[in-house]
Amino acid sequence: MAEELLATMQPLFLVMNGRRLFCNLHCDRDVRLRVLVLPPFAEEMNKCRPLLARVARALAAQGCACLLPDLYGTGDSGGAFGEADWNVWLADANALDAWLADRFPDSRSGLLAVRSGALLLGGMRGAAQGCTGTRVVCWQPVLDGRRYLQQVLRLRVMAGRMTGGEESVKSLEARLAGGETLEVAGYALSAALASGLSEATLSPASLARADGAVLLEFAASVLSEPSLPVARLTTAVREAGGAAEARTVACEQFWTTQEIAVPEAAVAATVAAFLQ
Amino acid sequence: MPLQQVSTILTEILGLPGQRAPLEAHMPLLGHLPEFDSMAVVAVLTAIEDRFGISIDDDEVDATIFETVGSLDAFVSAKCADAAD
Repeated sequence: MAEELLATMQPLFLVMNGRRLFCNLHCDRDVRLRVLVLPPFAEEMNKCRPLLARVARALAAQGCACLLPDLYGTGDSGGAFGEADWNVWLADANALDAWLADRFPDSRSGLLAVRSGALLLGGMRGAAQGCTGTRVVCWQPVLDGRRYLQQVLRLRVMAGRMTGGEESVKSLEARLAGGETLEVAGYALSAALASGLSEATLSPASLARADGAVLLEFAASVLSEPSLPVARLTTAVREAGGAAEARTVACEQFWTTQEIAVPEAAVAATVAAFLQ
Repeated sequence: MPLQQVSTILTEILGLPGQRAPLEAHMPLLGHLPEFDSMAVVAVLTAIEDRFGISIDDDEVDATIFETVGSLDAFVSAKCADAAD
């Protein structure tokens, strides 16, 4: 297991747009598909980290190169979380995408968008190119940035209620709109990051240009149908002439469980989604 | 149908072991199940929002919604009907 890890993993510090970013590159020989991971938000990334490392190794073993970045202000990259900015994350995602294409010019392109990483996907590469020519796989995609921000703020509201606080999601949104940085669940959420996140979307038109899109959703007790937003998106992508498929995978909801989970079913489903 | 999906969400989040059949509508939740604490409330609201593509405001949430599985399902059905208009 340790040998497998060392054979494929290269920790790198890359400078993108003047910012120092820590990434792990997993690859072996003969790279036929390069995959950039678009990370989830804040604590969800900590919970996904071991699973993402496992998936990256599994992809490397199948002739893929998988780049796992810490975006600016997260993990071992430069900057503090309070300095993170949605537009910075987009610019750096584009730069990492280009770096990976340069490094493996004879490979096909892939993107693994984890949770709110789907909203980063939506903003990458510009409207004209979008997801063109890229195999896109999403994990439990966040498709409504404003709703997601409200869910994040709700954590603080609930924690506050336990100690007699009177905050509301609306009052916190107003404070962010006024330029204030708020602490939520141990993270300093800046006004710039919050506004970028809440305005982000993933358009069906962009996803329709992908070389196939697979939207994976996960639950221990599998619901045979996808969630309504994912079902609507796959329909809209098909109506726009693209190929999109929603699949449900039976495993723990690893981005949110108390105990860190590394479900093999998620690994297998992801490898299949990229390499089918 | 909402009840099946609401039941599945509750089973998943509350970690009800060995629960296979859908939960009965009259099954009491808040104040009856020790697992149903404030963190569970947040998790259930989030899961419902994500599954049904709806947004639930703070001021729509009070204890009566979580009285039983059935009351939660009725709330969700009404929200979905509103969203469809």
